Amino acid sequence: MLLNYILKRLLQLIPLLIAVSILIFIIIQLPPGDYLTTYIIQLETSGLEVNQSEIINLTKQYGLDKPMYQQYLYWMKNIITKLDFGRSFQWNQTVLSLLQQRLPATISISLLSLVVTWAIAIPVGIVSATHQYSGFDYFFQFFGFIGMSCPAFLLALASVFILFKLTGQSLTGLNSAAFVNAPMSWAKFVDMLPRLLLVIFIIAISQTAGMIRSMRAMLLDELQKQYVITARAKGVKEKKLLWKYPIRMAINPQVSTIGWVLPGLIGGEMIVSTVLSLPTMGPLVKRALTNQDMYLAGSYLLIVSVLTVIGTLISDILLAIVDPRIKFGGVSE
Amino acid sequence: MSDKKKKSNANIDTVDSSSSYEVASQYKLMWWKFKKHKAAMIAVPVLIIMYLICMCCEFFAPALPLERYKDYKDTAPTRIHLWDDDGNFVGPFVYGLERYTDPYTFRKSYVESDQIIKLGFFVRGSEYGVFGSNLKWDVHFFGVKLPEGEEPGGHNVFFLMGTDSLGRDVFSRILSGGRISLSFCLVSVAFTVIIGLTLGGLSGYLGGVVDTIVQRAIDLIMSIPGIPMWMALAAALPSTMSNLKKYFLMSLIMSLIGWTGLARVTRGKLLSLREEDFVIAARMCGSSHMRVIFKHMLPSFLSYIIVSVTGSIPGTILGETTLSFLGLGLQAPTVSWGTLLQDCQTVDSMAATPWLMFPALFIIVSVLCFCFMGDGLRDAADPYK
Amino acid sequence: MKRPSEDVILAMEDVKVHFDMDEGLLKAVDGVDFVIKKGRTLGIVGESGCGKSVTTNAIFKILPKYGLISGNIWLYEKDGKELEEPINIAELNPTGDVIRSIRGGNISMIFQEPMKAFSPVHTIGNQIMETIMLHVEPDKKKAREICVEALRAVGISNPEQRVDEYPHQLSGGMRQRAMIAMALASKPSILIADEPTTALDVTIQAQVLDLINNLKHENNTSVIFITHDLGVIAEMSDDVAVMYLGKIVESCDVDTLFYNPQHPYTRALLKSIPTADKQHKGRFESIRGTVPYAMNLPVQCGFCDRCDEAIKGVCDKGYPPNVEIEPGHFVRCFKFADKGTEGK
Repeated sequence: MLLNYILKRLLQLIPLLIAVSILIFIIIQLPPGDYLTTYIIQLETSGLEVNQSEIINLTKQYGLDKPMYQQYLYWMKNIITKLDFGRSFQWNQTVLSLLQQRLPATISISLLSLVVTWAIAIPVGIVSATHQYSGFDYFFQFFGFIGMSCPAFLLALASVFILFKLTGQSLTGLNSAAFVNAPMSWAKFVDMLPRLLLVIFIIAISQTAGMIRSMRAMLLDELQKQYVITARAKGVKEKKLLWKYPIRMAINPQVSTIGWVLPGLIGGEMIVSTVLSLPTMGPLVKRALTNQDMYLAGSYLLIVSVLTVIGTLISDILLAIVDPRIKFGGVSE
Repeated sequence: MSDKKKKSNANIDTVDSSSSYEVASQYKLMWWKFKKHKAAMIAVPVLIIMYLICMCCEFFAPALPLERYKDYKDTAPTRIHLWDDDGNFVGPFVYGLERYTDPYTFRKSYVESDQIIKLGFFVRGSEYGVFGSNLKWDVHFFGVKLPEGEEPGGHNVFFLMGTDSLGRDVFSRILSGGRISLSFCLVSVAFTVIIGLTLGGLSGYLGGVVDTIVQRAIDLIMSIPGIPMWMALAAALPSTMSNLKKYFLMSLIMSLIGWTGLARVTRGKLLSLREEDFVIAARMCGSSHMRVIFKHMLPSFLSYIIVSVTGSIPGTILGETTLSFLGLGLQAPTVSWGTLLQDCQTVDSMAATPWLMFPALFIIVSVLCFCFMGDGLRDAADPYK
Repeated sequence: MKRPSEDVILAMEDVKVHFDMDEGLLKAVDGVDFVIKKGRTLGIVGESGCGKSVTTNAIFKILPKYGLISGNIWLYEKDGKELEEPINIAELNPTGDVIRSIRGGNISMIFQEPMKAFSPVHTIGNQIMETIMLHVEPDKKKAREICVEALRAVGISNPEQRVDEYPHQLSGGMRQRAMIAMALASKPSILIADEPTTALDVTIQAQVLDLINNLKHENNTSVIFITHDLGVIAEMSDDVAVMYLGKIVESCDVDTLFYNPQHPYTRALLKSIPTADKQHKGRFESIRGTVPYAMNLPVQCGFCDRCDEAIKGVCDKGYPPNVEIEPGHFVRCFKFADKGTEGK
């Protein structure tokens, strides 16, 4: 039954993904002109000779003279059949090779932030709710509000600034200058670790704040429920009761938050890595967007959207597993 | 008998007044509940003051946002004194500034001179058009008291939060930026309400094909991460576009992505209300569709709409400042809190001129206030809980 | 505290439950006395908000943190044996070992809404076995057998299969039967039923009431039955206590209550029962006004504002005494202040 459900959901994803890819293609085509026109203008302003044959060559190669829908079909066909995402004009490399260089770091940072978000938010939410109005609770409520009202870029700026004042070191980038071009080694990893932790913490903080609030509210709600009193009336120990009933009930819906936490983290990663100029997709895509390097920008958008869709699917499946009330295919009540 | 009746009436009166909780109107209950949220009760006046000041920013700011004090670049915030060096009370004043070059590092900075510049309220300053009109006025809420006949922009200067690298008063720019940033979120939320209510309402009320289309559209938008999508759409705005146009288009972009939440709430509420007994009763009494919607359904989910809308304001402010900071949204010379923060993108600039980070404080305070207000409204929306 | 007589299992002595709230002190239960006798059913009846449920929750010590309990709740028997030293439940630590061994073991509870009283994400069997493993049989396998038997005893068909089902898979009546099975699985000496049939269909109500009665006779269990329905009281109880505004205003055996009610409130309640009597035409009798909110009340009989027989200058000037007008028949009303011996 579970397998059937997963298969059904996967089939439903196909039209959604097609629609997503079309929408993304339209968005990246929105700016007037294309990369070639920008490129020509750049060459002209710098006083260089524009090589007409090269232009014609590039136009042909990418079908830029064809109608839009043909360009789209061509792009999609190459992605599906050859994993060829197109070419980045700006970097003069295939998008795939750029993705290979930078996407793993982006995804690992996002996923690690997800882990950190949960690892902090769920225990803190539980303690806040079970010790409502305690000092701990007030502290984290305050923290929650600050975390939610401080934009990620500001948090990145502020923490870099404060660390600079304290240690005299500028913690931008993933490695200090000495290690940037060095091959991966233990020393490089040690050098990277504090920076990595800083980045993950900054990205996770706003999502964590939101999640603590939702976990706390959810658990407070569950603690009032009749079944908690029933269990207490049975003589179950308070701690066991807490874990078996209300906490489990409050954690269940958190599972389904991957669908909105993940996109938030991906967006946060993009902003924070742009501010801290990390060697991840963030700064690359920002430049690609401003310079109309459409295949690079489009491919990134496509990949993170697919990741989001898969994340939502996974959380739906997890929720169906942990909550027996959800019949595969819909909520029964 | 009549005596007894009187007595019972009197008793009913006392019952009513003692259990007023049970007979108070919904809005009264909401207000009571909202009043209990202390943070929200502080946040609302703070927001009102912020909006008022930013709305009349030319009056409240001592200088104009684009006015350059060429001799005072990168000056630190001026200290306000009340007593002079000899301990005599003078009233609020600042010392004049003298340029000082460090003999070893050649770094330029400013030191206080002996010159006393008095500060005052409702002082004469640079001329501005009232609310952008042609009506000129030169009175500012506070600033330096210029000696008779002296033009503003000279050496009688006072910078509450310092100046930037072009010699512009940061505080004045923050107020002016607040006008953009604080109004931006309202414009964007207005677009969101229009789109979200219409589509959510149609989807919930009509059902059928319309519902399916709107639901699929929501799925589609929700599956693309918001921030990259904002950035992509913002980057698509041509750089030649006028600032006003850009301002409205940016807020439209925000709401194009943000309407889904409101549409979902509206649809869900409409669907559940459609089945409620009081709505069915109203329909059976022969009320028209319009009457059912506006008289019976709207009041019962209005509070949820307000909560949902208020809840989306902080995200909009954060989004706008983030995009502007990254140079993808509103761009200089438009002043917004995000564009102001562009000046401190590197550690070096932050270390040299930390006062350029002041706009951040305003972002945090305003978002915090909207969060508190949203929280209070959320509590109030369900007064019977 | 000496045991009043051999068959008394539990005695409430001037039990008060006050809630210390922001708005003031809410006196939910304000001096309640009664005894629970072996094998008998005490019905507690009253309008909503009169403190019925709070009274029984006090026996369990499952009150919110701001609930203050005073007075004595003496438990004389535990696990079928007479205690040398009776336990005062009112003084027990609400999360301690003693009260937890009493809860679910010696005293069990059936709740009003079976849908909400079960955790939706655990199987029925899991939740019933929890009680059994705590109080009867720690071995999981044997507990399961007991659980299946308990489900069979309450008339659930195919209990071997039902045991692994979730609450939402059962019908309302079934869930209440499962609830009863859970309450009785540990063979408690006292069963508290808090409006167990209110949320059920009328036809199922009768079945569930019969079931509770049968099981009570089989196991010689004492029952505290809480309801606002006098018809149910007539069917279920041996003794009745009428509660109003946190106090018991009249207590007697069930026949006296229906044939010789004395307190104006009891009589008003009885009058408001619809009857099939042809001569009874016109509107239903109803009690005027509503139960006052039990906070910052003046020193007067709680019912005097709604009472047709209230005596001006007396009823609104102090608390009425509790008077035993006949043996075992207590009334708390000024009308009877000098017509019997003052009881507790």
